[in-house]
Amino acid sequence: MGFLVPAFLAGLAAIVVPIVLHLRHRDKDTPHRFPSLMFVERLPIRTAQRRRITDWPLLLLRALAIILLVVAFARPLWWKPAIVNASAPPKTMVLVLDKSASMSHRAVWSAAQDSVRRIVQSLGAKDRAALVLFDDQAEVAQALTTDKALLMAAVAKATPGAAGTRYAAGLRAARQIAIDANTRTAPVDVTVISDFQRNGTAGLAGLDLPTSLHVRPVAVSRGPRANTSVAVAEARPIGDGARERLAVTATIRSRGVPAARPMSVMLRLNGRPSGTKLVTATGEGETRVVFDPVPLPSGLVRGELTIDPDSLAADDTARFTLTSNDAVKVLLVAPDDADRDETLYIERALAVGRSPSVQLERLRPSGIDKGRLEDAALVILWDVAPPSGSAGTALQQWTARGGGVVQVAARRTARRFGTPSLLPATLPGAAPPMALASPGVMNSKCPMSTSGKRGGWGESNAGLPHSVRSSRCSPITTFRPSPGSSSEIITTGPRRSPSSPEVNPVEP
Amino acid sequence: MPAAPASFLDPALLARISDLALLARTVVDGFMHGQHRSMRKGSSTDFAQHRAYQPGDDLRRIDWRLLGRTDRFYMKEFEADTNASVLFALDSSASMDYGSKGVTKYDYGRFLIASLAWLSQQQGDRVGLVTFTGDIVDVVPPSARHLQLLLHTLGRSKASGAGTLARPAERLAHMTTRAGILVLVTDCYESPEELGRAADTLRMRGQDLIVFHVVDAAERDFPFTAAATFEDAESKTRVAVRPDDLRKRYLEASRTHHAAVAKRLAASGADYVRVDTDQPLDRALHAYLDRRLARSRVR
Repeated sequence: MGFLVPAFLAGLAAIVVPIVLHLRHRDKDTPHRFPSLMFVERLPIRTAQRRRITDWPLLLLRALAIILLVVAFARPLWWKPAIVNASAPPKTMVLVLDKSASMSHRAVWSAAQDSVRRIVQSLGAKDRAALVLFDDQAEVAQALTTDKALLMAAVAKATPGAAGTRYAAGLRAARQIAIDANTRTAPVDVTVISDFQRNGTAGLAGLDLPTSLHVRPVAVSRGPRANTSVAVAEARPIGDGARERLAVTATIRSRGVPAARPMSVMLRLNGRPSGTKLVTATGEGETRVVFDPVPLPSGLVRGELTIDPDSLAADDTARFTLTSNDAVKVLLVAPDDADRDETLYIERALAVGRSPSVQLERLRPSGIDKGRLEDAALVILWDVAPPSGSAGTALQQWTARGGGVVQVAARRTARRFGTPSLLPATLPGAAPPMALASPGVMNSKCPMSTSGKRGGWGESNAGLPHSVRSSRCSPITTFRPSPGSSSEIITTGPRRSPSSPEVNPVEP
Repeated sequence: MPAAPASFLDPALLARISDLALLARTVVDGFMHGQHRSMRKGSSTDFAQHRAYQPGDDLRRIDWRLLGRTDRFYMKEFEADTNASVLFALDSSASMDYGSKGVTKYDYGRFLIASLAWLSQQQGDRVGLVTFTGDIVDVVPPSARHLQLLLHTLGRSKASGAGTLARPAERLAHMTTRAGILVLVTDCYESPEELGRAADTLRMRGQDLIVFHVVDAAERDFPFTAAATFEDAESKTRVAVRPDDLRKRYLEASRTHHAAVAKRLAASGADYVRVDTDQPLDRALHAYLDRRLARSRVR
């Protein structure tokens, strides 16, 4: 005999209620009437502390009523022994066993297997049974058979998987078995052994089961189970000087754990231990674990986070994969008199880049040489005039090979040059020469060129950007006033809006 | 004085008689059996004194022999019985409705009053009845023809509610206009001083007061053994007690109370008679008759 909902048996504790009532209710119904307690009340008496049950039959009746009520709620099951009866028709049964990841809990899976075994043992000699294993898909582990040994072997062979739960898949397979069994009007018992997770009911509404299919649930879960899982919260490469490092943050989630427990979290990269943290997981909730940045191996990196194993081992390991990121080298050429704060925001903005990341190198105009430009992808001339001499030659040769140059004209260079002198070099023919690149002028009103608390990029008191505001600087647009004209009109206002035209004749 | 047959006076037997008139007659006849007949005389023949004749006097009472000797008219006067007014006051509080051996204190009080009333009626007295709890409940004014009404009222009265004597005593004192005998039947569950003050009030108009203190055997002996919750019949207060631990002190307190009540009532000039419900009625009847005889000879 078993119980379908054994948790209700906890209600047997309610028997205490009538016992306490009978103990407390002792003399209230039959007090001893006396003409006057005038003398008794005057005396310093010791009141009787009697704790005796007065009405046993009534107490027993009440206790019996509570027991019956609780047992009824717990829904008792009687496992009928196999009755060998030649005249009784053989029974057809499909056992549908949940093997989703939630069933891999140590206690649950063994209980589920035991349930199946008990049912198999209770089958008669001519009864047929099949075993269906399902998670989000179903598979027939054992077709209909009268051989109990085959069924037992299939049960022993079954192991819980890592997928989710979908009862509809299992029931659909059971329905197919029932149809193939061709039992005509004889009913087919379908017993679903599962922990009955709520999220597995998707698709049940559209499932049409024949009336001859008798579905019986057997719950093997005994209330909420304690579990701790690990997940990757973040794994990102960070540029740290010459060598790239990997910053990993893990999230430890606990549910139903009776008390906070210490555990170790281990990080492995490509199978090698790369860090271990000792944490105390809370009873209910989540804890974030930040590992110290570790050198990022080159090529494909396979990472693994592992916590101390618990009853549900499936979620005690979290894995991630990332490829090494070849950073784009950017040379930021700042004037000799420029302090660090002046280029702070452009440096931070470039550091935000992830795909690809940016490897920024700050140097003075005189520091431009062929060697530095060799593996660079972009040169930003921050309020610096294009260099002359050997540096200028090296830069010209490098741009000819495909290097990109961005000149940012601010307070030092804008007034001196008026319009960027490099522009004709990048506009040889019909505009626009590049789909995604267009020349622009940065002036003092442009948010990118302002710093500190004067606006522009959001800043905190520490001087670090805490938010990014996208802004487009006034572009330089060129167009010819008429076809065949030898001059172009260059505007710095909105595109093709000649509100404040500056006419600058250029050579075609 | 020969003792009355116990069978006529046993309260347990009397409780089987539902008719109070029959009960009273049974008691009185049984009690009076063998008593001195002079107690039942209707008129007196004992000479008291002579006085001078005054116009309008009954000529039949002129002492003719003294007229022959002295040639003067003298009237002969005899000692004669006076018809007294007897008012019975019965405590009808809930504490009286208690009886550990079949007869409640209230029943016992009713038997007692019915018997005394019957006896008084035979003596030619006027009888009346008052029942009271916290105040007066029923009143039957004293009259020579009110015996049946008294018995009827007594028969239908019931004991209930909380009772005190102070207020009923005041009202009784105002109701009684002539001196007589007041018979108070109560269980005396009040402080001796309050009882004494009530007795003083009742005796203010020259009433003779006889207080019958009715006590049940359980009140007297406190025979309980098992621990239990006791409930006060009037206040409904409940107290859980162990009687074995309490008995000795209870009995002592009870005795002290009874003695104090008797002393205080004696100080007020009232007669205090304690009657136990498991005892025959003769003691109460004797006490009453003694008192009645004490005031019977009036001139």
